[in-house]
Amino acid sequence: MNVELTELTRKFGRTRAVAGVNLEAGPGVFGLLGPNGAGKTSLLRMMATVLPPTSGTARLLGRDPGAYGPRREIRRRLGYLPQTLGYYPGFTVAEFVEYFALLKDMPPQQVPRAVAAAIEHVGLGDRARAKLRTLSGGMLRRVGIAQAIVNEPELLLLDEPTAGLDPEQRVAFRALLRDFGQQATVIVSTHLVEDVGAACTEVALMDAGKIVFYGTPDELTARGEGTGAAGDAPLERGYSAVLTAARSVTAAR
Amino acid sequence: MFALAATCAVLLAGPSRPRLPGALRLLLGLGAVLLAAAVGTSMVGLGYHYFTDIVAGAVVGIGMVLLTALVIDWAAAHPPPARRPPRIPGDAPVPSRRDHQSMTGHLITGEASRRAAVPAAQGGDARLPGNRMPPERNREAMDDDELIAAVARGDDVALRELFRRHAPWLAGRLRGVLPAAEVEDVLQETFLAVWRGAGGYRPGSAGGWLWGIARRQAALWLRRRGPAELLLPALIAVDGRDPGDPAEAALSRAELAHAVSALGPEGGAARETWRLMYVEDKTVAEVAELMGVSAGTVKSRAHRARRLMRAALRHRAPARQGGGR
Amino acid sequence: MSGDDLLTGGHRDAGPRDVDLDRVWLGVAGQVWRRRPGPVERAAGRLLRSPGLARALVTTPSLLLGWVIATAIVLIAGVGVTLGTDQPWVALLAPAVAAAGIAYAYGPGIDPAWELSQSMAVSDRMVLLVRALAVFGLNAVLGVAASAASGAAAAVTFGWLVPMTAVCALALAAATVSRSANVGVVAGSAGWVIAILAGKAADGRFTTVVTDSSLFLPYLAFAACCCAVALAATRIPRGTR
Repeated sequence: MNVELTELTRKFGRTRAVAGVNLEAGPGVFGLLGPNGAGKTSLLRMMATVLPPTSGTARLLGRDPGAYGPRREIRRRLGYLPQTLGYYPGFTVAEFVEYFALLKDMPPQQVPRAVAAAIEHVGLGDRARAKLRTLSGGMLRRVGIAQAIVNEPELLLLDEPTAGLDPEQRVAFRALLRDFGQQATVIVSTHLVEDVGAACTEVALMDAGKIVFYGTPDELTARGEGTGAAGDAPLERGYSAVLTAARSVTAAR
Repeated sequence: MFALAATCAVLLAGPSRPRLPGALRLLLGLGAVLLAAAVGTSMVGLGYHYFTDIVAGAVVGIGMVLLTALVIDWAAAHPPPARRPPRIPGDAPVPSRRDHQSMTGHLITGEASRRAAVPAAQGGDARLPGNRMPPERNREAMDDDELIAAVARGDDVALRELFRRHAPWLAGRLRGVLPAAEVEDVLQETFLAVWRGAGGYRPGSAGGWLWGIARRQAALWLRRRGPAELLLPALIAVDGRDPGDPAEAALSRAELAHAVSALGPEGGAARETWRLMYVEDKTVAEVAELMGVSAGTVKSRAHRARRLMRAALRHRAPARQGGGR
Repeated sequence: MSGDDLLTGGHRDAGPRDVDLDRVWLGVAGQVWRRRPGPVERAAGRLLRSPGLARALVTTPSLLLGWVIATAIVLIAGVGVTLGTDQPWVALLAPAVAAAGIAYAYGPGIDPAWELSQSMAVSDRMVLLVRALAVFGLNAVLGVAASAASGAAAAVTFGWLVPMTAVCALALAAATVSRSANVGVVAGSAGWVIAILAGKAADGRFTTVVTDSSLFLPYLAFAACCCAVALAATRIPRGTR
């Protein structure tokens, strides 16, 4: 088990962005779906040890992120792509990835080959020495993915990774997810339902800070059958059905 | 006031406006500094008007910063075109669309990145006047000489294309002499040597130059490993080179094997003729008798065998100065 | 990733089967693309026992050559003016210049990738600390050199070091709290100008702010407060939604 979250909560002032999430994940690819404001980003931030939880416990990679030493160990084995990733315009792609590889405490002799592998893996091999300010949005996203995978993480957290990628690139990206999902826990947060269907073994649906569905994509599709919920694709219908059900339950309370 | 203006100078030189090249930033910073110094000295010369001067100085300083910031932001929004070396004249820069899986196969990008990288080149638009597309993107259409020249200029994408084209056959040649793991190391050293030494290439036979570097690296490796690893020296150096160095000889052997395989299957007429005449060192008459053909046939077969081997050696093989046979 | 003919695709001449050309290319590319650390970076890596921290230090914007040269030139100009007049311009300049440099110590242009930096094994607070110390130290050395060269009143020559500490701490605190280098610069400079004016108003002399040694303790206390503020600002990640 790489991720064990128990009643994880995060409040900002009075709002509860994450309201008691329980999650267990071993190796594999997990999708995190939900509408905007559901708390996906805050949950991901807590797993990336960027945000401390208000209450609840988390065990990441078998360690407690509350203490400094274990947190550093977790971060060495962590790959994180935030929703908005700024970049240093004067850096080249290779410099950027190398910079973060070093900041992840990678042994220096392993760094050049790992950086080259990450850059080639995301398909930017012909732009390795291009300055970041010359790249398009989709390419910058791929640079972000490259820095996340450079240290071969055991826990890979990606927040909206496919923003700006065209369909062909998304196909290749899903293959990358499957590759990593063999050994590591990959958690992909997205609001694009079709991203999830192809690559993920399990899907969690979040709404208003809680997980309202957890299962396989097929199970999610099954939830949408016969309910007449909105959606163009079966998975989307399942998504709408679950959300409607969850909200009516909350409204009834 | 001096302090404020000086702070402005340092601010300008700083990275808050990162899109300007470093030299230009430095110049701007220097200019602002000199201006500040000049104002400072003039103020001193006018006498000590502290308070009002300080207020005025602050206003001037802040105004300067705002003004230059506006100018710089405007300049950053209209970046100058990237300075690229002039296009080597020659073939039409239409990228050849490979029908095979693109280099980055199942990776993030397929043709998409190359499409994005070659915005104006589709359908041969690249000859439009004022074409801003950097020629470097057309590396697939560049020939080997141009690629190596690009590598000499520090173009790593050209090196990548060079690798894609030539690594396979270089690996094949080396595999004849070395075990697989060592082929990988030697090939890596070869291309690093290409990266460092591309400046010394004279246009001619790119394949030969590459193989020459690979040979040297392989010979280095073989020498380091000691005599136990060396293969037997080549029997005959068909290209006339004296195989004094056993390591070089081992490589000549690989070249030889490649050339001999061009003669056709074992037992075939050309190959058998070659073997009898050159390996077993028989005379034309003896060969004619052994093979049951006339002497003239033997001679023409031998001639054909030599021609085939020469052609095989020249194809991606060194063209020596003076043009060997 | 490896195992497929990625680099050669379906090219007919794909090379011997047991030679992994992709692996070879990664070895070549790794060496071609890497940035070789200079002697400063290597020394810093050994000293700090962290190559990541050394790389972060070396990419500090206010330690880059352009900045250092600009700082040196400003201080040299100050020397020139000091020699011409009797006012200790270097002593009055150096703190403001140092404050500007310190404000830019936190990440390339105040870290656009701040959220990512917060998830790094080398914590962003360590990076900030090391960078701020390096910039401060460098500015102090330059300032001391300029002061000594100008030969102004000895008491003033080193009297500005303590005020400089205070002003730098103010700039750092402002920069980290507002997450903007420019705010830090403005705060530091404004604070310093106010201090100069206050000194003049109290004593009638421009240079009171650097010569009055009774101010040292308040300066240091102020610096300590600002440091605490900076530490607090970098402790809790500013997680907005």
